[in-house]
Amino acid sequence: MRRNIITTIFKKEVLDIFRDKRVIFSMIVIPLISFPLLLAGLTAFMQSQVEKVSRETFRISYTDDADLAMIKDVLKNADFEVNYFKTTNESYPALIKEKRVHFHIDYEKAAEETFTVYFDRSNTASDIKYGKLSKSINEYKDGRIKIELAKFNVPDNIFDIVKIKIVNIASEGKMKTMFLGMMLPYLLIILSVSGAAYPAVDLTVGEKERGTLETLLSSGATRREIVVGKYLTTVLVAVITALASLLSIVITFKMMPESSEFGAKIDFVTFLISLSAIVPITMIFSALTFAISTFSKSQKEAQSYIQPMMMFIIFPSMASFIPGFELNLKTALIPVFNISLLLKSIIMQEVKWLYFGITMGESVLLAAIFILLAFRLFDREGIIFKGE
Amino acid sequence: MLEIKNVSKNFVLPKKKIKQAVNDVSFEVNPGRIYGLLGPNGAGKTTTLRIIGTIFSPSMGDVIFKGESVFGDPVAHRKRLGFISGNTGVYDRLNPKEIATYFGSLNEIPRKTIDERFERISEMLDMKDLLGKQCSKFSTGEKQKVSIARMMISDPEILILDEPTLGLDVITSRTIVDFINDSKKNGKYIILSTHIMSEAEYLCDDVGIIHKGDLKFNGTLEALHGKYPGESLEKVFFNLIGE
Repeated sequence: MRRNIITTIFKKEVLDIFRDKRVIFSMIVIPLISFPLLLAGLTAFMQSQVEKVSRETFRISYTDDADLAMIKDVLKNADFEVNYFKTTNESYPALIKEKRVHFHIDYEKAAEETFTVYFDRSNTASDIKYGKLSKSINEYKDGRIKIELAKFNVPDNIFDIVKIKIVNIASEGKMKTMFLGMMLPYLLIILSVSGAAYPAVDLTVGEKERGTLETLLSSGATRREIVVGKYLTTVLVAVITALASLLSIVITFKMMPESSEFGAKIDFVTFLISLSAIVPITMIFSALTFAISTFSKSQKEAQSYIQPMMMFIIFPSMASFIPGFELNLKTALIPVFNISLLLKSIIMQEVKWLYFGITMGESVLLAAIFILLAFRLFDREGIIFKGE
Repeated sequence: MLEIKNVSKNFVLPKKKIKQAVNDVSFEVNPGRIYGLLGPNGAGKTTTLRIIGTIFSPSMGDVIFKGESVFGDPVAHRKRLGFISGNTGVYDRLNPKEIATYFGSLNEIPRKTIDERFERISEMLDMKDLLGKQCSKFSTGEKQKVSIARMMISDPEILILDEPTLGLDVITSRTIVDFINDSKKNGKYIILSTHIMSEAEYLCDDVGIIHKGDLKFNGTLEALHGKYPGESLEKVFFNLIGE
């Protein structure tokens, strides 16, 4: 193989693909804007919605006037306003269902006092409000217990007779990185694999469909040089997608307020090691999607093979979410699973270099197998001119 | 001389069926002469041309150029070969010069030579208005001009032209026909596949009539007319393919 020919093919493909607006959009724009929008935007939006819902006036229905007096007494110190509605036992389910009231409360006094709170827990607003309502009822309950204990001269602090002290030795920073360490591997893997899919399809079966492959095959380039030049372009696009995604996630997390559970910070060295760990997976899936696309007779057919393949990647890429798994001699040999765990260990700054090496080596080997498969497919006339 | 010697090509179809696309085809192409490969769709023309271009390898037979099998060093052979077909696409996001430079570089032509040749070729093909524009908005004729420029940038000795005027308007077809005639004058080895009999009659010195993979006739155009006096090429063609 001649380096100058591979370079010529690589340069041309890079020029060609970077002029494709779809690639720029899916490779850079989507990863760059999706995380700030999804994470920062969604978190801020959710927070403001929760606050808004909490500030809203509570609508509570009751059936008995005696109950109302008790409920009002319980909620007299609540930090929310309440509108009360009198209803019947037959009507309140409909009121809750139609969201005209948030809660229906029955109060019963026998040997013990019972507050029965009816509400639709699938209604998020009611569920949020229930947090505040139950707090008020519990405060009333605590007050009542204290009164009863006082009758028997039992001190208030009887409930503190046994204490549990929890000391979390993980720093606050590490706790925040834990979330990032779970989420980032999955996102990075999925995005870089989808980053490889479009160029792989476009540069192989896309070229067949556009009628330019025959011209290329009749040029002074060998088939292997063509495969390598195109493959390197696919890897580059996938790596750029991964880089854009990683940058976007890191910046988004950095911009989050210190108080937020997403406010983790990643240093430059961790950033670089994470990026280096993602390269082998882009190599594997660039080679695999490249081989699949070469085998296909149309872009549509290629997509129909690649989409189910993505399903097989999703599960192992979620390894970082599964408790109890860490990178060891066994897990370092499971494709995708190992990258997910490796990325998690890098983010958590617990990387073990032996497993890092095994994971990288196994991924490169797998990429080499798929690229050899692509070589063989590209050599097969029946496949390269499939569908003619 | 370019010799196509007893070339056969079989394709393995699903369920292990064999399709014989070309069967024991032999002919010669000489410099400064145009060999017309005539036949209906599916006759085996494109397969034959792809074998000559080393895109396909023959199941049997050989292609000899200047005494050596082209399959001995296919890269060297393809560097002296220009291939164009009516279905040839161009890279939509590149401009004509970028396409020509790409293929020139793949054939290891020095950059300076590429630049000089491109200037001459673009002038010859009247491509002034197309330069610097991406090919996506070009008409079929304009794209075919780009394909010719791409092919000529390497100044190939052998031209394989598979239905080069397919779908082109009269003016662009004329440009292509003129280009083929110029190439003939320059001593190129030219193989022209066409189903347009008037084009073959006008351009070709030698003809091969291929049908269902078999070469039904191989010889000069004069010999063909000598064999079937007073009959048009189209009529002879239909007689030979038995329809």
